[in-house]
Amino acid sequence: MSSFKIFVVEDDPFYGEMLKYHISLNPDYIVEKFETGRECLDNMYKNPAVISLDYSLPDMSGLEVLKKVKEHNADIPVIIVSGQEDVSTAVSLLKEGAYDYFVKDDETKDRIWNALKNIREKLTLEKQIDDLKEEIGKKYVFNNIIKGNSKEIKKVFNMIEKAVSTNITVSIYGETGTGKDLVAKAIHYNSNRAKYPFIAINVSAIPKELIESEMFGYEKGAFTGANTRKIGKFEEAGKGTIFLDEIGEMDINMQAKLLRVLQEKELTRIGGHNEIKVNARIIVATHRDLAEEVQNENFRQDLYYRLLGLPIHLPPLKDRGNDILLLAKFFVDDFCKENNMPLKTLTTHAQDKLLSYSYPGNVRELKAIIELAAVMSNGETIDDTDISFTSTKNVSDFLLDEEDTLQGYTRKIIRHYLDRYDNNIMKVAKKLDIGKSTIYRMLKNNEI
Amino acid sequence: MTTKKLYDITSIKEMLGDDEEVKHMMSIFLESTPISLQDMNEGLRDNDADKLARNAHKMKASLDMLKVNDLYDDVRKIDKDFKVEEIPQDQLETIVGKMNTVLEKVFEQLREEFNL
Repeated sequence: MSSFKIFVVEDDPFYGEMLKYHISLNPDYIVEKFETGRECLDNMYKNPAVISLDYSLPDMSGLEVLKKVKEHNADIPVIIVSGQEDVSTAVSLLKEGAYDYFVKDDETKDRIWNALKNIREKLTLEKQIDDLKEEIGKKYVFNNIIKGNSKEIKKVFNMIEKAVSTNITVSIYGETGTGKDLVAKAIHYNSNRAKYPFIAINVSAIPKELIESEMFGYEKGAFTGANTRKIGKFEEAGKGTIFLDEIGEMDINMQAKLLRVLQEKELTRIGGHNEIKVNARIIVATHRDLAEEVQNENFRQDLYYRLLGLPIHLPPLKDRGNDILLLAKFFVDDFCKENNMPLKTLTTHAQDKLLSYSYPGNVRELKAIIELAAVMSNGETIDDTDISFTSTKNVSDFLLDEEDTLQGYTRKIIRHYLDRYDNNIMKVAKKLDIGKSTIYRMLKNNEI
Repeated sequence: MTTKKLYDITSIKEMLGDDEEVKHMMSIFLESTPISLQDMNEGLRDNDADKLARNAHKMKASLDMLKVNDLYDDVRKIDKDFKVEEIPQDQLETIVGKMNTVLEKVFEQLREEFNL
């Protein structure tokens, strides 16, 4: 670690010199000594890492100096060294933000030595955390994580840029596997909230009885088993971002509670009375059509409008044309690097095969297909025979597979769409432009 | 006849190790402490309790470091932690007088030991 600047403020030249000597035994410590509070404050532009401050100075009290130091930079640790053994003085200084309070005695220099060691370790850890956060930020530079040149994906980039530069609530829509969570992270780590936490909650993964306590926390004794106070995810996010994934799955009662928190910008822990400010930015995501859910009365209209903010629609992979190949190449390279394998290329046949598939599992499915293909291929190329589509939902495959009657094809196509849209008959009927009664009839007759 | 040393700098010597460094530190003590002592005397002369107490307080840590044990209690009596103005004048004069006597000897002994 680089040098560590320490100010020693002490009006007794002998005692100050002794402290300076002792601290300077660590060659990384650069010590500057001042005999008055004014001198110390005038030199604050030098940005000391720590200040050792005598409480009794000729021109001002340690408390005054401490307050002014904190006004300049609240993060600088200030160790008070004093001849006074008055507990109330120590308490008031600690309340004002002093790092520690030592009474001058034989042990003082060792206590300061240990305090400096601890502060330095803490600062080193904080720096490492900041560096890691920056690294994560780089990882989530959005054109690093969302690959593509298609017109559809460029629209998404454009929307992400708009989301990054404001605090607007963002709603992300897209089929499963399109990367909604990555978009949420990209927005957070590229926004001015990046240094604060990114907290994700998958609404569909938490039982409805637990979601309120998970989101808003609870006080000790709020319910059986609440042995300690627990802060919720909203509080944990602080000034960061809270990402509510699969918001469309939220229970209608919980929707009302969430709406109140979003309107008031305040929450109350379960069993608590104090209102706690909510500062986090909200990003939500769903694979459902929320407008349709509102129509079907599964989702509150007022909450829908509250959450709509900036809507970002992630296109399904099948609509992204050559992005499929661009992503495939990226996944091949990434997988080979991670597994210390020689880099592999995709043959023209392999590329054609990849482009012919519909990817119901979207980017996530493509990644799995490519990784399997990279393992299966023996040489430096991946051929079409190395690629297998695990999904049974591939239209082109079953159409070309074997000859069938028109009725047979019709059954397969309807089955395929029912699988894709979670047996939502209304939606499938609309997509295929057929009557829903046709589908009901075929289901009843076990034709599909 | 050998005079009793009024200070004990064994731990300072252990900490600093180097003789020249010890000499340097003692020279700083000999430069700064007489000034504080003088200021304290002025405080007594001018009935300025704050000045008296502030300078006693300033010297306290150094005297402890040099283990000038003869003044351990006295310097604490007139330290600014206590209400100096409540101490009778004659008692204050006695304490300050003793501090002057002992410290003059300390200065003299240090100068002699370190050729300063």
